Amino acid sequence: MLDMKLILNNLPSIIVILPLISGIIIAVSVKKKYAWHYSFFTIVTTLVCGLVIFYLTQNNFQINYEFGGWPAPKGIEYKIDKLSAIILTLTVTIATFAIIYSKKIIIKEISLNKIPIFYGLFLICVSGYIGITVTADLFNLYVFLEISSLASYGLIAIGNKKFSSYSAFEYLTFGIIAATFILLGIGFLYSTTGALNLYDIKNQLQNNEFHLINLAGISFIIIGILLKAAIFPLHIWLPNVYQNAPNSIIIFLSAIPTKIAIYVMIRIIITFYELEFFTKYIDKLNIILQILSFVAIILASLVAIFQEDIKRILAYSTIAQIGYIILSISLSNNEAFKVAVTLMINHSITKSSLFMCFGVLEHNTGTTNLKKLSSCLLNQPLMLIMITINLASLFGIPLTAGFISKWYLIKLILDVNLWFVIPIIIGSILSFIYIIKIFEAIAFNKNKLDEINKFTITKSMFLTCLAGTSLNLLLGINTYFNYQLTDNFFETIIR
Amino acid sequence: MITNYNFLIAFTIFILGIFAIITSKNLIKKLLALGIFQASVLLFYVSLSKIHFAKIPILKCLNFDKCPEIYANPLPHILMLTAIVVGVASLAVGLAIIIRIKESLGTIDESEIDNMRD
Repeated sequence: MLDMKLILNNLPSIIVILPLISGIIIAVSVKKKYAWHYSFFTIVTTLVCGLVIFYLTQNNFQINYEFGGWPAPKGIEYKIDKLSAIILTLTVTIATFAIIYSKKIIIKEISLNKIPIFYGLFLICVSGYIGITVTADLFNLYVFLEISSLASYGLIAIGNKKFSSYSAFEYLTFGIIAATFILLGIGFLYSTTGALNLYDIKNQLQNNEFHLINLAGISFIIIGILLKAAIFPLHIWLPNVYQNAPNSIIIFLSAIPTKIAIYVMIRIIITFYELEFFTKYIDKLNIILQILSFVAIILASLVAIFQEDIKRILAYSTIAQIGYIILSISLSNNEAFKVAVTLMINHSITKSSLFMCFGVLEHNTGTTNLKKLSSCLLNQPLMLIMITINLASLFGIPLTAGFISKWYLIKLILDVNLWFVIPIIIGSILSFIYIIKIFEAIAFNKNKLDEINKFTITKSMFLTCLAGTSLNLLLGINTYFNYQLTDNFFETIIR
Repeated sequence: MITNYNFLIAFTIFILGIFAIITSKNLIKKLLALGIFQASVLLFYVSLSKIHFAKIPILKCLNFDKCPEIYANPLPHILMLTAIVVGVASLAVGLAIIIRIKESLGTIDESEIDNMRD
C-alpha cells in the first residue's frame, strides 16, 4: 500500500503538511488522554522525514519540488539545499525534545481541557518553521512566518503565570509590526521586478535600474528580520517572553524563532546579492551592524548580571549570543556565514538543554528566583553535572559545543581586525560572572535550611535532559555535525 | 506626485498607524491601530496594479491573439486576499489574549500593568 516512490517524490510537501493537518485534527477532535500520543507519533514521523532530507542533501542531491506541477514562475516552488536541510533538522530535533519533555509536565502548566489545543498549536508552529526553511517563494515565506508567529503567541498566552498573557501581547505587537515591514519590503521588490520567486527576483535585480526602490525594499525586509531576531535595539520583547512562557514551550521558543529569522536574512542576502553585501552594497552597513553587535554583547551581559530570575539571565544571554552571530554575519565573507551557522546550531542546543534542566528545577522548587533557591541539587549529582556542562557550554569551556563556536568566531575575527576581539573578551568575562551567580544559587546557597526531600524527575524529563546534554558534548568533541557540515556550503547553495 | 496620490495616502496611514500603536494606553486601541497599520500595506499593493487606460482583467474573447487588450494586473489583489486573512487572524488572536489579560490582571490599561509589574 505504501508507495515509497510516491512518498519520496513528494517529501518536501509531506514534511510541511503532515504537522499542519495533524495539529488541526489533534486540537479539535482527540481525547485528552491521547493528545500526547498522537502528537508524539506525528513529530517522530516528521523527524524521520527530516533526517531523510538531511541525508539526501548531504550526498549532494538537490531537491526541487513544484507544487501542483505548475512550473516555477507561475507556481510555488520548494528547493532544499544544504543550508535549509541543516536548519530543518535542527528545528525538528528540538521540537521532538519539547514534545517528549512535556508528557507529564504539561498538566502542571496549563489547565486540563486546553491540552489538545496546546499540542495542536505546537504542531502548527513547527510546520510553519519547517515551511520557512524549504520554500523558495518570497510571499510563501511571509505566510509561513505569520503562521508560526501566530501559533507561538497563542502558546505563550496559554500558560498560567500571572504575566503570561501580557508578555504574549507585547510579543504580538512587535511581531506583527515586523511582519508588516517584511510584507512592505516584499511589495517594493515586487514592484521593480515583477516576480515573487527568489531566483526570478535575483535574475531581474541584475538587469534593473531602480536602485533606490530595491534598496528600500531590502531595508524594510532587514528591519523586520532584526525585530524578529531580537537584535540589539529591537530586543525588548524577549526577556518577558522567556520569563513567563510555560516550560514545555520555552525549550522550543528559546532555540528556534530567532535563528529562523537570521536564516531568512542569510538566504535573502546570498540569493539576491553577492556575499559581500554588507561591505559593498550599502555603504557602511557593516559598521552599523558591528557597532550594534558590540553594544549588544557588552550591554546584555552587563544587564544579565543584575537580574534576579534565572530565566531572565538566560534571556539576556541569548541577546548577547545573537550579537555574536550578527558580528560574524557583518564580516561578510565565505567563512563568516559558516561561522554564523555553527554559532546558531550550538547556541540552540545549549539554550534548550539549559531550559530543560531548569524546568526540572522549577517543577520541584516552584521557583527560579536566585534568592529563593536553596541548595536543592546537592543530593542530585546527575542533574548538577548536566547543568554544569550546559553552563560551561554557554561560557565556552573546551569539550562542549560553545567552545567550538567561540573558537571559530575568534579565529574569523583575528583574520579581519585585531581590535574586534576586545568586546568578545569583555562579554565572556561578564558572562562568567552571571554563570557563577546561577551556579552558586543552585549548589551553594544555604538560605533555606530545609532541603527538598523528595526530588521527582519523570522519565521523559530525564531522558530529554540527558539527550540534550550528550548532544552538546558530542558537538563539542566531534565537529562533524556543526562546523564540517558547512564545508561545501557555497558550492551547493543555490544561487 | 499628484497622480501617485495613492502611495502618499498609504504612507500617511502607515505612519499614523505606528504612532497610534506607540501612544495608545488602552490595549484594544493598540490592536485596532495594528489593523490600520496593516491596511496601509494593503493599499500600497493594490495601487501597484493600476495601469493607465487598462481594462478589467476579464478576457474579452477566449483567444488572446484575436482581441489583444491591456489588462490591469490582478496578482497583487490575490496576494492581498491572503494578507487580509492574516490580518483577521492576528486580530482574533490579539482579542483572545486581551480577554485573558483582563482575567488574570484585572485591567487593560498599559500604564497600570506597568505599575503592577514593578
